Amino acid sequence: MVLQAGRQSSPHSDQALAELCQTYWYPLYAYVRRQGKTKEDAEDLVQSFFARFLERNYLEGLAAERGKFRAFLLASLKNFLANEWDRSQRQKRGGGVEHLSLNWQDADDRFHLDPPDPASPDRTFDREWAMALLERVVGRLRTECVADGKGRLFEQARGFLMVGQEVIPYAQAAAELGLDEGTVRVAVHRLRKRYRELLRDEIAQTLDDPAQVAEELRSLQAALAG
Amino acid sequence: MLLGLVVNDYKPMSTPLNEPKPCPSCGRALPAGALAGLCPACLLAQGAQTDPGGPADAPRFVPPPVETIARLFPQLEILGLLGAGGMGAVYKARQPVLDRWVALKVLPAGGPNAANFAERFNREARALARLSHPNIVAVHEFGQVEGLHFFLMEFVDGTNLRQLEQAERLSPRVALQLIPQICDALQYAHDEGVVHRDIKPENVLVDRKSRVKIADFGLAKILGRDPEEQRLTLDGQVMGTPHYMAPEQVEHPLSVDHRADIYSLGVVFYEMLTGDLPIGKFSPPSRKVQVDVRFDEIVLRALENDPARRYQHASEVKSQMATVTGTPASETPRPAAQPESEVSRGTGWKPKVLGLAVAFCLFTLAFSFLSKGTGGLFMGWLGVAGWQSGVARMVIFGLLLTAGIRHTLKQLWRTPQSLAPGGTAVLPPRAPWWRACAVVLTGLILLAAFCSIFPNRWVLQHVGGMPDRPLPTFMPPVVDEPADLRAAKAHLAELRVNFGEEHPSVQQALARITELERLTREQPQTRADLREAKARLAELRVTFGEGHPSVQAVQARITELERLSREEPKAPADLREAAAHLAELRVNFGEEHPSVQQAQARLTALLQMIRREPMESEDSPEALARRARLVEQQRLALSAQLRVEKTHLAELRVTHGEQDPEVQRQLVLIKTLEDKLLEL
Repeated sequence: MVLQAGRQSSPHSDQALAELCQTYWYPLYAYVRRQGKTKEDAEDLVQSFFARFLERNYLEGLAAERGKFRAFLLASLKNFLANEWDRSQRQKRGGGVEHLSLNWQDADDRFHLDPPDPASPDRTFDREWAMALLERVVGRLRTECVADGKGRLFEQARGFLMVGQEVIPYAQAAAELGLDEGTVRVAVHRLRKRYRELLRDEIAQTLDDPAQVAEELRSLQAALAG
Repeated sequence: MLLGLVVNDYKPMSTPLNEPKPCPSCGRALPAGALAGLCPACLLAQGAQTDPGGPADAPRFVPPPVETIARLFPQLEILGLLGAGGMGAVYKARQPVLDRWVALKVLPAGGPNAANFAERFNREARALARLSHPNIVAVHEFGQVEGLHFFLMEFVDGTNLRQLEQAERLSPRVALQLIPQICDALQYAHDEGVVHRDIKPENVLVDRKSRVKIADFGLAKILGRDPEEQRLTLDGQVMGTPHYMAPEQVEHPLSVDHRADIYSLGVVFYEMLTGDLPIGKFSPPSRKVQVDVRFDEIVLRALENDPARRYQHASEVKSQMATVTGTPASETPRPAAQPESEVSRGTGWKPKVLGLAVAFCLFTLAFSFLSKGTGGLFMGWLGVAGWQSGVARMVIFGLLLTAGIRHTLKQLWRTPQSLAPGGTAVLPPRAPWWRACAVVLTGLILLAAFCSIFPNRWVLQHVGGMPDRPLPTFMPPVVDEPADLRAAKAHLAELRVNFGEEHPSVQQALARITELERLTREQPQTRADLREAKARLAELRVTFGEGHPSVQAVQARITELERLSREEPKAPADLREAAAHLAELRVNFGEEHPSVQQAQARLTALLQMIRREPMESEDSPEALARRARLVEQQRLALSAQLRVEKTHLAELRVTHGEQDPEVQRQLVLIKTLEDKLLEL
């Protein structure tokens, strides 16, 4: 797992960690915005938080958070907000620290576009986390399909990922794709299966103990249901 | 029509950001971003669901209530539900006519291909009913009642392997008892043309007499489903990944043959031995538990990914196991078969090394005593420099030997450990005995050479002429030993070689050496004084500080003592003579003889004289002046301390009163100080 690799810093694990942060930065941004900070402040905060986070070997403290990267990242951010911001103000900006290329404009748009949510910043964070996770999973699935030359099938069938098996209109999809219905059934079945695998894999990446996947899945479902 | 609606809605949306649509499933607003058009809650819910998702998906099987079953099977007394899962439900029942217990298994029927199902069921069930083997759950009857397919089976009074494993850690002994029975059952069924396809601990029943009964033969085929997907659906929980399935069952489900069962058997075997599943890169069982390493090969071969490389028949597994259990581990000449069936890994080599070391020591000793010259050499080498040195050498010798042997054994041990599972270790062929002897001899010679050179580089130069050369040449000089003691020891060694241990002259020389050693020990009297003085100095420094007169006084005494210790003479010639004479007399006349007493007295007198000598020779004016200065300093220091203590006494008297113990203690202290002052 990435987290386990992250315990000992190596170029590979650093890259894996950076990738993890690339995936999950928006939930942090949403959290900070929900805390009432302005767009600029939130950008600065998240950027400098990541700079800090990546430069220190934060992952060593992970055990304290029961092995969940999600909880750990949020706890680290809260800690950072409490300590760091008051002191450093905005001087951190560009202070020789390499910026992650995070798309702030999109983030701001998205923040406004997201359904107005009266929930607490913590719940916002969890919700956004789940979304970021799903985005990454669907993204990986798409990449895989395109690599296999099944890009068209993916675009056609991605909607089937979110409905029950019994309501999938195979015949219609087959007609649209110009394929045999049996083939479509098998393909959709494989796609759904692969999606579940990727989802579990992606969650496992954020956990110290892969056995916790089911538990994490439940809490993410709860976050989205709220 | 709902279906069409759903599909239309899920087509990728071109402008998802502008107007968030509600999710057609749950009605929540759809989010923007990369998930465009997908409802995260529903997506995650589907992802979390572990539905089989197969094209031939059937609604989850709900076991019919006991009442329904009782109504459907009036000829049976239904006693209750034993268990239910994706593969159906099992009820405990009694056949009153035959007065026997039976298990009634009701299958989940239906699904999209329900039509094929009945036909397949009839075909397969007939094959199953033909199976009659003590280790296979017998099928008494099968059929269909109101669309419900059922098997009436032998009732096994016991538990399944999974429950056994959960209740307690199975010992390898149990595994070795059960696995052959599973092999029997599989071999029989395979001969009958029936493949189980779903061997797993849940399907291996064990009755009260530890007899294995395998259940659900061929059921996977009847149900036409991957066992994998079955496992995922049980009660909607993730039951784990299909670890018992052979790889070809996943990849080419249509070409599965009986060798798939052998793979599953391998998994069950591995799990029974180690408690773990052989997932990913797993280690052989003998590296996890105490079990004969030869079982590794059996388990690993059963677990081969390629069916062609597995055992081709279940009976082979059994016979291979019988071979292993039938022969002691050490007798097999295979590379992996290190004799360690009962010995745990950590300690396996230790008794061996210990034994070898002991054997070697015994051999060396015996050899030394057998050949007189070598014996003398060896004993002289060991004993000549005192027993400590001898022990030290033996320890070095032993350590080198142990390290060598240990290294060799470890190498042996590591080779199989570093192998990939299933790989074989190629050991070098056994060398002929003379080569082993040559290697051992060379090693011994090198070791001996090293041990000799280590304490004394020049020894080897003299090794050339062996026994008849005088031994003293071989004796390493010992720095701290006085010259006369060395000479005496050399003489002793010579005498021993020439006359043997029992000769009186040897005894005499021994006595002399003992005496000399005692003298050597007694000499450093001054050094002990010096040590004491230094300790006192440190104490005073801490208490009074560097500049205090008492510190300076002690300092002066230390200088004095250091000079003395330098000047202390080695035992003068007449002292040595006296000691030698005494030793001789002792040997000749015994301890109680007057002449011995006399010689003893003379020796004591001489010793006293020697000790006093340097003090008496201190008559030079400088020395006198120094001593006077010293005394004066000490007196000053003492009187200073006395003044301080007296002041303190006065204070104490005022604050505590005359009778206070503190005051009494202070009085005693002052008295001591005054006495010391008077002495000076």
